[in-house]
Amino acid sequence: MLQPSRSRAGSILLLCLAIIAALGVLAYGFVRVAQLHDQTNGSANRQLLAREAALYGLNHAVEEIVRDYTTEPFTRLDGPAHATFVAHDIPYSIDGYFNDDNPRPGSWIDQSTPGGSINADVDSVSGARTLQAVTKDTWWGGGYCSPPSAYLTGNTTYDGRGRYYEPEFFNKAQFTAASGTLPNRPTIPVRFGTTLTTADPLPERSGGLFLDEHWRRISGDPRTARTMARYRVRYAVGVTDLDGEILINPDPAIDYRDYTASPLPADYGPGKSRIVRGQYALGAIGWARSRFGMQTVEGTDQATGMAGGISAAPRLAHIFLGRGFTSNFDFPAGVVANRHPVTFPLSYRKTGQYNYINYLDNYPGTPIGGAPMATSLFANPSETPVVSGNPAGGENIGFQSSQQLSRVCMGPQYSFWNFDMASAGGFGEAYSQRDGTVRSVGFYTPFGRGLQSGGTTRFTGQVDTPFAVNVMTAPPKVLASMVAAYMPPGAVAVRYYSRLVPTASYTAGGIGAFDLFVGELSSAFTRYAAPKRASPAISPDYHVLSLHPGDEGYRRPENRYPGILAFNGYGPNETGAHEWSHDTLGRYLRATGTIAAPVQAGVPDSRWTGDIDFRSGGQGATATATATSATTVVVTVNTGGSRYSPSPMVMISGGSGTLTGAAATVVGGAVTAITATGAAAYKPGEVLTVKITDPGAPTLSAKALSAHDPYNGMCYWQRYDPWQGGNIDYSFPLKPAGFNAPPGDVGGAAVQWEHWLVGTQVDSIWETIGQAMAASFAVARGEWLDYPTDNANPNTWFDGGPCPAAMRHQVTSIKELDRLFLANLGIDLDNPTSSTPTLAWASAANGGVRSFTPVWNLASLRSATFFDDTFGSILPGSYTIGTTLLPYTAAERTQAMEMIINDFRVSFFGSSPGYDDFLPLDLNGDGKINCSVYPRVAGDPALPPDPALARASDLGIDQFVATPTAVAPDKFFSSTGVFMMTRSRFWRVFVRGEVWDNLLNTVVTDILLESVIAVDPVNSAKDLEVAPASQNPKGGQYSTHTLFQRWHFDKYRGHLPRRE
Amino acid sequence: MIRGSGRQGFTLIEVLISTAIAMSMAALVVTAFMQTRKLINRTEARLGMHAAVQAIHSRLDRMFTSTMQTCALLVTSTARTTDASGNVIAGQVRLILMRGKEDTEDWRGSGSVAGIRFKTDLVWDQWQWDEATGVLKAATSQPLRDIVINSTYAPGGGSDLSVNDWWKSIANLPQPRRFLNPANPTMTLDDNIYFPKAPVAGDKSMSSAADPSDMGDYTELQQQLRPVLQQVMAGPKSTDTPFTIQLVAHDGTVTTIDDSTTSSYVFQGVWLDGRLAPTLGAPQVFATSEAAKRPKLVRLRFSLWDKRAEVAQTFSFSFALPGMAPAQPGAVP
Repeated sequence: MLQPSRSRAGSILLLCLAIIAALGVLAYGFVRVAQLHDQTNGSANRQLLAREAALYGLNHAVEEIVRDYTTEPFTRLDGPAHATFVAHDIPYSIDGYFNDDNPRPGSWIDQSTPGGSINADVDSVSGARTLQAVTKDTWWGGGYCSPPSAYLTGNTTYDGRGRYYEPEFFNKAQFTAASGTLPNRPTIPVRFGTTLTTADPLPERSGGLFLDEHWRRISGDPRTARTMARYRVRYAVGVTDLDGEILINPDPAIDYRDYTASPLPADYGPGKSRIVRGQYALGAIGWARSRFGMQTVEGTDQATGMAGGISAAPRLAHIFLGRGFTSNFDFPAGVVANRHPVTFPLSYRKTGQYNYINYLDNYPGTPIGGAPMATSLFANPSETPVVSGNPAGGENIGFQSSQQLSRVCMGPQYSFWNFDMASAGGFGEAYSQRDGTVRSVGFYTPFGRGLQSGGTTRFTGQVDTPFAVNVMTAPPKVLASMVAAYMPPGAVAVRYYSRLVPTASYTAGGIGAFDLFVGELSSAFTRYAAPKRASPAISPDYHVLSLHPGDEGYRRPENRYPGILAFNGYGPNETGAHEWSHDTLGRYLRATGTIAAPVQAGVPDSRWTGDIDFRSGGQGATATATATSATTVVVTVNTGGSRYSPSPMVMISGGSGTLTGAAATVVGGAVTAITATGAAAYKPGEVLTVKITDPGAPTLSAKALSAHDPYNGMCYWQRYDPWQGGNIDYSFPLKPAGFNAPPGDVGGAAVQWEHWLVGTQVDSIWETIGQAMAASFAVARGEWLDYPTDNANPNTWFDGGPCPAAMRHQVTSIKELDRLFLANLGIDLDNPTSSTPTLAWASAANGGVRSFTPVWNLASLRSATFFDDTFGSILPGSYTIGTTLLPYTAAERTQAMEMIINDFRVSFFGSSPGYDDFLPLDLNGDGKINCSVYPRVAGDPALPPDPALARASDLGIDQFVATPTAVAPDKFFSSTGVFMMTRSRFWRVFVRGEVWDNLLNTVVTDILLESVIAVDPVNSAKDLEVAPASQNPKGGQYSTHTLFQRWHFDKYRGHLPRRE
Repeated sequence: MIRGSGRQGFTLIEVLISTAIAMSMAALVVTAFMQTRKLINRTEARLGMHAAVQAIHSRLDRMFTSTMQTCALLVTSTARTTDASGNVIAGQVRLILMRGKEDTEDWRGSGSVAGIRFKTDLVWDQWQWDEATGVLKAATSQPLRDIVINSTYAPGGGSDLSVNDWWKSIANLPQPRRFLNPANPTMTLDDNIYFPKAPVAGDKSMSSAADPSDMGDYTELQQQLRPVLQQVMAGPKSTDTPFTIQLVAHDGTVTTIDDSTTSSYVFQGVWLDGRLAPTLGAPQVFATSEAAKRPKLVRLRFSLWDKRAEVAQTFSFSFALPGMAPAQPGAVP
């Protein structure tokens, strides 16, 4: 019998093992494939979920925006639309600056969700970083967000990283009544890191979206499901009120492409004259904004030798004026050696000395080798002009070959980045000349609705320019630039100091902006014609190149608004023949100190972002002393020597006493003891502070300029940047004729000038107006301030403390802002001829911190101050035109001031559609109301025509109505836009959607969605009289538009999840 | 013990039966194998279809949710017809819209310097289905383009300007167009040629319409068209459909575009300031506005037919465009 081999039995066992092993391998393979397949699907699911989360967030944002629109009287920074999404603990913080209000260390966005435990502050961990559109990653790593510099100028408008919400699982934010006390913050929703049990109440919205590991939705009690979930979805929202930004698309009705006529861009029609005016206003605003931000670190401007950012101003101007942009330029023909682009010259100037922005500035230099740069910021005078004036206003967009440049940046803009990059011409964030480029983010918006000329309904206006901003949400720089751009070019001066000889200074005449007070740009100023320039032949030329006689483009004072009585020409240190030309009308109309530290009226406290500093208080000399009794404190103040008498304004903080005789004590003295006597308000040992708010008082000791700086009332502190010697190009600002170099100028290389200050002429009425406006901004915005920011802390805003209850939420309309503005000038809106404005809510007696009780030199224009001999001694009593001697009276000077103030009010307040009962006022009590909205009264005063100019000379004070009661103007103007307090309609919304893995305890996918929302474009929600229900059958907010939407994408990371 | 030799073989019957069984088994196995293989092929085909369509869906989703409502949207179709000779003329369906670009730092251009320029975040997208090939194509315009400068351009009279130098690149940005001429929408779409007029005598301008590289948006889209999905055709089943676009407007109007008819629909963009009428002074009537006519929902339906695998799969998607904000419960008190 055959017996099976034993060895074969073993083979079978091995075979079985092999089969088992093979099966095991196969089984593993199947399992692994299934795992990978599942994970692959999971990745897609995560991405889609993140996207859904972002859309959830957008819907939530729209809901809150609509709620803000329908329930609030006007949109403010801390209203429901903003505050609902503000991070709990570090709202608005942009640079990691932490204090008691921002106590938690910040982190980068991508580090906001550490893999560790869920932090109790997870809702706000990224509050230190603004939610930015551009997330920059790099191929070498990083994973960081772009620095917040882009939003520096608008940081208080932008919400920051925001509060995390879970879709349909939160408490709706509830707000206290409008008259509530500080803080007025919304109810905290269910924090992401907070676990709820069934014993806890359900949130107001308790749907939720909670998924298990297989992406199945967990049903049942959402509180339980939330704890069981593997994946949860959340979002953070940042909203920006676009109605607080400058509209760079002033008239969306412009459609240069009339396809019915021709599709060719060469056949673009000319812009409407109103749009031309708007573009010049934009140029002036852009100029103003950029001129105050020239401290960029990238280098020195090739044309001017100044800090690089200075060229941002003409860059912006070029773009706004339609002269092309960095990549869209025109060359002159026939000139090889000087082949610079003529329509956008600044981008392509290269001398070989500097190459810091080589891809911007190296064009002529590289291929040709050191070609001379253009000698003017606007065009090379040696070339045939390509920008020619248009008699109807504006400039023709010329081309060397008679063809036209495309108005890519002139027509309606559909993107925030078009304009930015057009002005930058390159990689804007890190290397460009910043202030003309990426920092415009948060400043300009292409989305919005401009005021319509001749409109009669709400939001339509009757103005020359179409701009309107919500004064309660506008970034400080927007407000500052609008005000500064309004002022005549000569009013805002640039001052230079020598590094080598600190006592030497040179005041340039004017900021070099555009003159908007010309008939071509506003019918209110028809008497003033824009100048002409022969080379290059630009006519009219709104750009005031020089304020010095003999220079091309110079206009005599009588041909400039507001006339010779308020001429803003040379600086106050001019002597001799020009001494009179300095406007000192504002000297006695000085805005009073309102609150001790309204530091954020216009700019962040750092002063590095560059703005005119409109703060009115807190800049005077400061001294402290300890009260010695219940009623008396003696403070020794070093005023440093005030240049002018009478005395400065003196104010105290700490305690509630009043100064007795203080004003009379501090009259130009160097060291003065002030005795403040109060009504038993002081406590022994209490430290009191006395501030001297006289603009002439030096306060810049930290900058070693105290002895020479008269600009501390309204000024811009410039960064220390040497004005390089040797290659100084005085073309901007123009070197004054006959200018003798200060002692430090020994021939070039050794000279180093610091471009230090930009401010108004001291004592100018424009400075006074600016201060009053700044103080009004500070109070109005501070009254509604709820959340602390880096720059504005509601707990310390008002004289080191919170807003007194009596002052809370008092400014509720533009009219009230106007009232406050006038009060800061010592004028009562309801009784302008009275010397004492009354704002009960602001008075100390009623719990406020403000007393408008004027001292004798702060009265209204009716004060005898303006008629006394002191005043008359400052300005000459007459002015000679030709051979005619024209005497002027003190009363006429008050008329000029009255007109300036009224015009300012018209431009910023009166033209606002929400201020229906606006009236110019008779401020000096002479029975006439001087204002440019009124027709000129011929022959008053009787002035001879100027033979040299063949036109009537004027004083700027012959436009009035001779009536003691106000007459409503039938025509308004606005040179640089109006301020509004309204419900905002245009919003930019960023939403960051994330998928959270409870197992990994971290975010596994995120995505960013940007949207622009137009709320209720047909006014159906509130203005049914405009859009009756029959025209909008859906009613409500149905027609709210999403105008723009895009997903943001990191090219190095793609849409892939963060972690598998 | 000696075994019988006859027991060492198989009878014929045994062999035949065994063979028959084996063949039957083999046939079954082969059949099963073939069927399994076919099933695998079909499954693979379906998986491939789903994977491809998922990618397409993701791309479409981002595109549609980024649609610029302020820009015109163009949908056209060409009918599938038969000419006099009996030749079938294939149909076509295409969609063109402008959307927000995702990456703000799009590398573009030649050279390291030009590569970091970015000028816009808007791009045009085109999707096109050609029945003849069953290919779905897509194109995205560049955020900016290099334009060859007119060869006659010589500012110094010489030829020192190389046409390939980066600095002569001109940011010919994708132009947003609120309106397209319904009579000739593609021409309007292509009208951003920078210097379209022919050079005049002595003209030394930088470019001209004569330069073929001087593109407009539409021209560039045609150049950028790339296949993204094949086998897009109606399968044998009655439920299989050709590429079909259905637009549901805010006013409820439903428009269907496929290759059954030749059509051209231009949906004009809404006003940039959100208004509903051409002028603010005019009655702002939603029902008659361009906004009401814009699609709020886009439905796509198409079939993929893998003839080799004998698999036809129909897909349909709906995408919400960001036109109108959804109704907000509780928003209005």
